[in-house]
Amino acid sequence: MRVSVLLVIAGVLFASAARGQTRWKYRSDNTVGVVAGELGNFGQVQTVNGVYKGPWFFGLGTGLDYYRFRTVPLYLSVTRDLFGASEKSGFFVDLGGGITLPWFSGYPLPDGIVSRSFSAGFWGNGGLGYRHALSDHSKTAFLFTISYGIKRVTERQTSQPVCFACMPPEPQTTQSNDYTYLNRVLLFGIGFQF
Amino acid sequence: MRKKTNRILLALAIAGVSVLALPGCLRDTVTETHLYTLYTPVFEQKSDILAAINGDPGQAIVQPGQIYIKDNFIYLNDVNKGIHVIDNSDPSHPVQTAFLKIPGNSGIAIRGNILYADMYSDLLSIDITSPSHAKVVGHLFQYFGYRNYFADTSRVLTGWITKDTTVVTLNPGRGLYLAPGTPYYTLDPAASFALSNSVAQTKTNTGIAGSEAMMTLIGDYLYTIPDPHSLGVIDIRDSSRPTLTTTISAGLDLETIFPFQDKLLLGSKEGVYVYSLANKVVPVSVGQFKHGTACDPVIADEQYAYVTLHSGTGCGGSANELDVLSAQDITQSSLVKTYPMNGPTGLGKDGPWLFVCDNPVVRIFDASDPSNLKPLSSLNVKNPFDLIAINHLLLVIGDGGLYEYDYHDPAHPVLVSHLPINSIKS
Repeated sequence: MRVSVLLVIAGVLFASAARGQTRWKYRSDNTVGVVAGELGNFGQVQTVNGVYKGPWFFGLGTGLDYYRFRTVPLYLSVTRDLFGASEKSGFFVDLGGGITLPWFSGYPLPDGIVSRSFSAGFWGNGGLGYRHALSDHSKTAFLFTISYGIKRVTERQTSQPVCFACMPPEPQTTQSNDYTYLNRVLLFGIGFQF
Repeated sequence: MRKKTNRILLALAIAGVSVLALPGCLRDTVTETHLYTLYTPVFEQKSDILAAINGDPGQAIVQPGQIYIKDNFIYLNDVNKGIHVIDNSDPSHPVQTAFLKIPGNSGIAIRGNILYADMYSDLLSIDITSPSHAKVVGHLFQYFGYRNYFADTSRVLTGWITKDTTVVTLNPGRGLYLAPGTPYYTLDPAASFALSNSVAQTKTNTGIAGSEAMMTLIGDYLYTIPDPHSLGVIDIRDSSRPTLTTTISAGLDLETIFPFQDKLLLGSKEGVYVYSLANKVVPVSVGQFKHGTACDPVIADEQYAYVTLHSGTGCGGSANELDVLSAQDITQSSLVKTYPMNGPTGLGKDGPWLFVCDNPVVRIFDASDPSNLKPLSSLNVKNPFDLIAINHLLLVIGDGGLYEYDYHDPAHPVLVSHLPINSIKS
């Protein structure tokens, strides 16, 4: 639901921005950084590629997020430069939303658990950034971003039930636990825009 | 330029302070949806239960357990329910002739016309001269003490009423994973828990058991594992009065018994214990082979012992392998070779052929040279548990029921019959 809302918002913004403009330019924002939350600090890599015109930028983002579980976010990103800072050094705000896909293997099985499976969940972030242009009116710049993010991942653990007469073959009725991890984090990134 | 630099420094400072300071204010939310199963026991009077063990007509197999053969009959344990008596005179057409309703049963041993079976903590001797008119002729109550489910020994647990309950928990244990499916019990306050199993293999007028046996008959004595650390000896010269003669502390986490020459091989989660039966009433420890923690049935021939190790389902450890040990002097056994497996359980040997349950197949090897086992074929059997191989007839117990294969050509065994669960062949 939240993904749908974000897509609609992004579409509206994109349409309204495109109406009064004539030429869109390609831009790529690439950052590496730290995801900090209750569990500690983890690494993150992101790349957002899209188009911009005036203060608006719309792109598709992906990357790697190592907080709690390694996942690959896929999201729409909307950025607006503040104080007329387009193609100049200055601050901007950004908003992103989409899904995050589990991508890992080899996590240990807790006692009694015979399998663990993970499902994609919501991924979103919003924050503030600073763009330091290498020269005036150049789209090449250094990026510094900080934002608040949410990463939701669901997990199903399955096990054999505890048995009475534990000599095999005991009833093999598989049962499960479902876990929903709603992670709240701060993302700090530095990177390069071109 | 200096102004820009100041801005950058300001931005970095804000970001750095935020990353260092604010995460302490952030809290993740973990929601656990846990399925609990509530078990409520159903009891019946023991006298009624004993009277009812009289050879009911054949019943559908629900959960096949241990297997035992004697003469032309197969005795198949239905876990915690009883024993199916199957006439296997024609292996291509096994017939379920009778069912012995024995709550809590998991093991079987037969000498002559007397079948020994556990009923939770009790050991019963049952006359099966005519399986359809079986009769309990003796008992040894409260022998498998750790299978006592309740203080009132005049009653027998005959079933459980289960009810699934879903509970949602917020932030369970903060990273502590709970095993799903954990059962909760509504038992008598004095209840205690235990478990056991049995089956046997000897010569003469006894039958043949699978490798997962926890009971074996030798001469006038029944050797059992009354609890995971003990070896018990029961005098069965008078089948109407089985008498406990000896109980010794025999090892840790004992699981299976295999008779070998004049010795007993006790498979445990830690290794194989060897006991001499020079004095049949008082077995004496004469050797031990240790391995990593795992569940491990063991068999042996004159030259070699074969041990399968599997992990999971409470077995602990991570080993899944077949170990071949030298057995010329079993008291000084040493590892000959280890073969990796998927999840091996029961095994058997007939001549040079070695059979191993290794989910999801049963593997057949040419074991002429145990240091170089040659795979010959594999049989697709879902969750095979145990097997007996004798006279070119392979009996396999799996989730799907009882399978019989002809292995005159071990490279191309032929399925002779299949007795599926939840159906009756009569």
